[in-house]
Amino acid sequence: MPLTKEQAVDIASRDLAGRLGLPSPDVTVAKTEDTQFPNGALGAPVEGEMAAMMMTPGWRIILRAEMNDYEYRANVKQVRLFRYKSANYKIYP
Amino acid sequence: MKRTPAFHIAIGMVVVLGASFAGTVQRSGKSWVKKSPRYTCNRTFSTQTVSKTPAADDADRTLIVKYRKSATKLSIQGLLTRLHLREEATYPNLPRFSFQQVETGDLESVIAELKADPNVEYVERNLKFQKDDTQPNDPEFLRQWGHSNSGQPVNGGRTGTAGVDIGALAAWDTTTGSENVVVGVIDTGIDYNHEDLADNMWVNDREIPNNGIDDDKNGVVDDSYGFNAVKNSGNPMDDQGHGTHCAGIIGAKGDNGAGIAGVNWNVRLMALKFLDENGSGRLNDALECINYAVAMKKRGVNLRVLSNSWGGGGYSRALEDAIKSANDNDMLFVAAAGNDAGDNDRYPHYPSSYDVPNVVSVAALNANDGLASFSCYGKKSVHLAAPGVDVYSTVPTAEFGTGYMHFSGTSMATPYVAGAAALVLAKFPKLTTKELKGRLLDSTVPVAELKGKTTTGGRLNVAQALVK
Repeated sequence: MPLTKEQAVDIASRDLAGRLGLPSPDVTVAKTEDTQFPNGALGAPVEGEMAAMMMTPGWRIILRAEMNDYEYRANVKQVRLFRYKSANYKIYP
Repeated sequence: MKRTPAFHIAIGMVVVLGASFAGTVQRSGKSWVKKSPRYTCNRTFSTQTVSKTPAADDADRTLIVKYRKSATKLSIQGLLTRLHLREEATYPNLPRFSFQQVETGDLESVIAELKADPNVEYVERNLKFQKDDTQPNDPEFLRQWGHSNSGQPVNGGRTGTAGVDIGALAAWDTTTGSENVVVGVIDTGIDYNHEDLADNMWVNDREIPNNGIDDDKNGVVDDSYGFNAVKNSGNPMDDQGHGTHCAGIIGAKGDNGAGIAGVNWNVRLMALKFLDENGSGRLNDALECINYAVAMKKRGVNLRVLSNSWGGGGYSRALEDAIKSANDNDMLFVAAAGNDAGDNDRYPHYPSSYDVPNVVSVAALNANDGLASFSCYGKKSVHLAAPGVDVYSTVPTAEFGTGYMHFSGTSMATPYVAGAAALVLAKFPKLTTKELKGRLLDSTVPVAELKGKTTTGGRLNVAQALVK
């Protein structure tokens, strides 16, 4: 089933909470916006990953926790964490 | 006003002259063709006096030359004299253009000298256009600005610029492709059941479909249409859409009354899937696909072009060596320059930045001849540009609920070049990969925005690439 924006935000929030060891309510949504990413990896490839060079619509999700912002990138098929400690992560699937 | 006899005489002269002029103009199809008398005349759109029009067999020795702004009348006259050129006409509303006849000497040598002359911006052969350029009957053809741009609206938005296309209509007067040419699409797979692709799929005739047996003993079971490296199977069905879109640009069946037309109306498409349902893939699977391609080539498949609308992963010597192997087996490797809007000369994008002779790196153009805002570029490492914004092509109906969509990316520009390569091979099957690449790059049309951004500074033009 394709993801909705809300589902993607939920996946991202739970991932960040777990990653930081925080209770879920401590992670808030600072911003979500529709955007075009530069490739099939949503511009957030993991190390060694190759991707289709097509402009890919999706959502940029900015989450806030402990006064820091974290960027997640998602579309109907996947959710990724962008540049967390200098690396990208595939969160879903 | 009192009309004197002189007035009536003047009116009479205007009528006579007008009739004489009309008698020399005849309508030919969609354009007016002005026949000049064989001797001295003044063309309506030029102040030049010409002694005669070129005879039909001289037409192949005519050129269109554009001079640089810095060229002076004296330097131009010197050039005409030195190279034995006769200026047949100029175009006052098209500054610095000149229509010239090569009177003596080897045509290719004269063209080379003109190109090298500092007064000359560029020179083109005098293309022959038929009264009716060959146009397919595919109902969605007008959405394909990349093939034929008459300034139509693009994807329901801004209008394009007439002439900003790959010259497909003129090219199709020469050839519409050949089923003897096979293009490998290394991608997310191809929807081989698509109404506009099924007839152009390469079929492994040494495999009995779906019998569960590796009939041709190539290590893959039931590989009727290609190979799936993600699942290590013979079923490269597209589960994402990107590969089908690219395949349609190369070779959607043309003139079949359905959908669109590929650059090749007829071709054979081999599906080589290594990108997954998200459009991502791994090095080892890319290597598997190239390995399969080389293996099939060695088995006699006329696989001459590989289309690669993907990138990333950083430098890999293994991938570079695999591309070299493709080169050793006479396959052109066309690759997307990337969508990070970066300078590939400074920040290489792979595989398009591998310095292997068979690699052609492709940037993306929009319908107004601008470099796409997302497109990577590189004065030394990106070769040319092709249509890559709002490109209409085939998609798997099962995935999208429709069989055709607009996509953008250097992904879309890449199969335009791969398709053009296949079209050239349909006409000139004996070209080596080096000659094929040379033809594609030498025939580009200069585009101001690409100067200093690509090695050729130009847009793909398959009509020019087909000129003998």
